[in-house]
Amino acid sequence: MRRIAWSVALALACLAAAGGGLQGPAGGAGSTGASPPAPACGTPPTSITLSPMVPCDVNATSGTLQGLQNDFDVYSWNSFIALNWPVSASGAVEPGVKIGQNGDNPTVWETWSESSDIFLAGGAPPPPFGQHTPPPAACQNLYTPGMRVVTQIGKTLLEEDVQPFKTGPLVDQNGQYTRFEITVNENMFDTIVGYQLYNQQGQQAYASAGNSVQFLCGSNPTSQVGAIMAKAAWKVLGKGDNPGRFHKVQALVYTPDAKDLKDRCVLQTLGMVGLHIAHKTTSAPQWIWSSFEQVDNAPDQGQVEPAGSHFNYYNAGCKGCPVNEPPPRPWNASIPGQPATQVERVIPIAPSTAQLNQTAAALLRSVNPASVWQYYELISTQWPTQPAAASTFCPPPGGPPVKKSPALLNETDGNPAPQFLANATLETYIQGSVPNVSSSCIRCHHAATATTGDTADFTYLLERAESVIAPPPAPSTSGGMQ
Amino acid sequence: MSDAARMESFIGLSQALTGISRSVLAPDLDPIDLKSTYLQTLDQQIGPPATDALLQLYVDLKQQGLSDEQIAQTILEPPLPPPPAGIDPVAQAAQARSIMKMWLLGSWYMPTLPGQAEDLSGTVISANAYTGGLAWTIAQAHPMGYSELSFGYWATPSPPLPDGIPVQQTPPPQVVVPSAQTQPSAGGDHA
Repeated sequence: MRRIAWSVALALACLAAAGGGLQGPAGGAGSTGASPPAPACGTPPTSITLSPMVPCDVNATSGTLQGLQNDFDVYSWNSFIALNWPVSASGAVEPGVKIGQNGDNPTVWETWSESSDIFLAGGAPPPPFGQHTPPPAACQNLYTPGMRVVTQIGKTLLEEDVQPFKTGPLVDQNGQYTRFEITVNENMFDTIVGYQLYNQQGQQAYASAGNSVQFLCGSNPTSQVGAIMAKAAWKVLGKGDNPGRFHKVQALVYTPDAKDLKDRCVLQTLGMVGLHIAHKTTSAPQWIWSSFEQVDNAPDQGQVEPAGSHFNYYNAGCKGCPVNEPPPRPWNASIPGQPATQVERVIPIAPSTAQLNQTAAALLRSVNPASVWQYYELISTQWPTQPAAASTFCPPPGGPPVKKSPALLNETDGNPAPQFLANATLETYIQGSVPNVSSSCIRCHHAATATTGDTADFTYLLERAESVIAPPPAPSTSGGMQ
Repeated sequence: MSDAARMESFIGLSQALTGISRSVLAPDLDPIDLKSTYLQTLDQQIGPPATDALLQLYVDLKQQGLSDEQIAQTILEPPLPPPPAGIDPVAQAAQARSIMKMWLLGSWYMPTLPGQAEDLSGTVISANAYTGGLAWTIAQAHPMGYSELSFGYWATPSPPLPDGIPVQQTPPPQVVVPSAQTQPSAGGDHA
């Protein structure tokens, strides 16, 4: 069985990323331009830096577990800063404006395509990258082009009307449901669209040709950005919340119809409470998983809180509240005043990560003392200590798809470090340290499949693909049945 | 013995007893860190003095230039000459067997002296120890419901054993084809 040392893995990753070809989706931001594109990403510095340059991959400088964890945590912070860099109204990165310079700012990852823009009813082709589909009918009176619409209520909610609330909703201290969204970068979008993986027939054709879903990998040597997913959790800002401590959006919050209640759409101010960044890279084909939270979410388990402390998902005065348990049914986001979820962080942030968080907060504060970004913290970065071979799992940009093989199926999850990682807003109810039960980004996503039942390269998004609606049969010209 | 030296000796002793390389027992990047769990279990079960004595025995044998196989044989089948005062080689052999079971099965079995009823119940040390028991790896299998491989792996042959787990190369059994004269009649006697 393959066991690749980190130094060897990085060398192989460089070689794999240097391949070329013409058949598949090209990598990076230059896939449609004729002139040489500016690099979509860069080799990240070895310290936290205020830069709009997305790290192509980790910059591993250590050979020890703790040293590499620090390298990955630095990578995570540099990714967070770059992906939350200010963008203009047109969606372009504003290199002349620093993150948080104006307190808050619209961000890079929010200009990407949202999952609901890609996997459409009837398996229809998605609009071009970054463009959105029309909102639900209930939102259309309030909608203006460019406005955000947030629909997802449960983390594993596929769509409003499909198998909702597998892990239960998360209710904040004001009785409001937390909302979620997933966006993908252009590189990942191009692969999904280029191979027509956005509907079931496209996935079937791709699999029938012997192909395995493998997204492009970020690479430092070739400045290829690779596939990135961002998964955000939002709360409706209200009583007790300090808006100056949140990245905010004005969004249409859509609540699907439920028993005896019509669907609703309300324009509200949302504050970001959680952000996952998942990035497939040549040194980590099992992806790098960075998890951030707003600092006021929840205390550590067993932590004694001073009187008057305010948390988004914890009430210090509620002594008998069940901790980290989904609210009682029925679950319906339309019902106001629902019991709040009492959340505690089961695995505390590691001291080395907490130290980096302080460094990052000071750096962000130096831009503007009122920067909202200083109120976010890295929970941890999960990465494979035994990375898969990039030569097998990273298709060359523009090259042919990766073919199915036993080597792909026999690849392990890479023995992730840390073993467990849970975001209090995204994996609230599966925190802990029991294998196969407690949250581990890599272990869980390793089991992701497409609608064909084939592995889906660590993303569950492909399960959302619908079947193409067959056109109605043509009228018979034979005179009908005999 | 310092903590680092204790751990180093424990890994060396474990490698000698199991025949499995330290790269498997204690990989350089080891987020689960079963070696620490197991050394702690040993301390809790037989006590730090007995653990230290066993580790010191390994160090002494290693310094004599013995191979891993010779060390294992010496510990598991103690020689007859009388041991130093306070040392019970038979008890140490039983402890060594418990260490082997710990690595292979992820469970602790109380050391059993000759003549005693063997501890067959065992105690699973932890969830990680259960899934990390090397018997699963050696059998190219996995605990029920817990596989590190990708979805659909069951449709392909198992991956080869990891480097560091020795594969016993035994010649295939020779098939002796009986000659026609000695071959018994397949159909029995027919009239």
